[in-house]
Amino acid sequence: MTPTHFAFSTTFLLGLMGLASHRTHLLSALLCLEGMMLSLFIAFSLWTLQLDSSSFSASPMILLALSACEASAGLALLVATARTHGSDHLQTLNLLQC
Amino acid sequence: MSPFILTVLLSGLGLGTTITFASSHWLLAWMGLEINTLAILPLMARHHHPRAVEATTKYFLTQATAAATLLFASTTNAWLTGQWDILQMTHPLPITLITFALALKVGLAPTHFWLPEVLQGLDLTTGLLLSTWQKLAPFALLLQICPANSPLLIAFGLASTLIGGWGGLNQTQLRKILAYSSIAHLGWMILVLQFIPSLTLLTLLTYFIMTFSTFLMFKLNNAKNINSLALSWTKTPMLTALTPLILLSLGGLPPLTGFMPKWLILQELTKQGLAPTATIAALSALLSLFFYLRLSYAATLTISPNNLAGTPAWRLPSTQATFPLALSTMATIALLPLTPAAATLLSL
Repeated sequence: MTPTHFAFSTTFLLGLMGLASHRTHLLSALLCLEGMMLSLFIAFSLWTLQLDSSSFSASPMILLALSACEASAGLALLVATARTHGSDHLQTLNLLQC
Repeated sequence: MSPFILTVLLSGLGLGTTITFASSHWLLAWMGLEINTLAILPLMARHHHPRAVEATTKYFLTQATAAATLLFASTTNAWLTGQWDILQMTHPLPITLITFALALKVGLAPTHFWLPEVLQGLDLTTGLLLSTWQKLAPFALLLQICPANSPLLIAFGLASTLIGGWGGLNQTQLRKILAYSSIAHLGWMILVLQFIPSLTLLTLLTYFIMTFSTFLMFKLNNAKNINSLALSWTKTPMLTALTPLILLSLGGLPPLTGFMPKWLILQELTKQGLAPTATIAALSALLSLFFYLRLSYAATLTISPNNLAGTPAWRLPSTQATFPLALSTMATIALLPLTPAAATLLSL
């Protein structure tokens, strides 16, 4: 496993742990999601160096475009949650339990 | 919702699934899944009701996590094997990670915890869309990664059938019952994935037809819990006579259509030498059958002159088009004799 591979893998896994264990605010989950997508962006950007060819060099921008759409959808949902539940505290997201 | 926005969103849903179906590169497959997620979010939250918004938020978080993990696994595969082709995955670590990510996307146990709550927060039409259309793209990917000799898939399948059975036992809300039914059926689909992939497709399509009937039947009766289902005989007596047949087809009883996939799956599992697995799966179907029977009992055997189960609701005429429900009900009840044709088509 190359150092680059190790670096972006650990970044992604740290972000995933943060997303799985967010406890108070919804915004911290969205931030961890952004961190995960950023680590994938770095991986895609360095893949060109790994391959020593530039045939795949547009892929980080494609990834960035879609992950920006996703992030904005997440923020819109954050605003909608703040409107319906009063804040982004996760304790208030308990309307749907059994 | 404005018809223009609705057209854009439904086209987005169609586009996302089509992109994932047509892709051989992992980046394109991920893009299709993301487009699907983004397109259904406004449909889920259109009523701006607190429960709908909460369901949308939870759905968004789980699906975004699953898609990111999927892309990470394919990036790892690229760094380990040097290529991005979906059909040529050889390294076991990315295959396992992708299976986990797609299990989270689709709602298999042990990553099923979001499905009952999300389905509960949606209205019945959007819930139908979630249960049927959103499962197509992840299954297209699962079928293509060809996991072979994988005890992980057997474990997921058995866990899903058992949890789908036990989880639905304590529910009175119909959408949560349908969520646990979905988990159980997905378990059956995953059990045969590594042996006969086309049987997974057959189970998926049969499940689509049965769930379509069930959701439309609940929508016609405007029933959200068992007590309001018990009043369906006052609204549509003919449909109430067919309701137990639809529900028992979901439960997999012969001679209804739902028995076909279960029969073929149990046959294949036994042929592969997994008789204990087949036994556990068949016994777990009994758990699901119990709550389907409870729904059938509430719908049909509590009719006047017995004591009524709930307060009578307003009996307004329904404006729902009945042709789709009629067609899918007939398919749910009467398609078992086509089993030899299905077996031949799947070259079983």
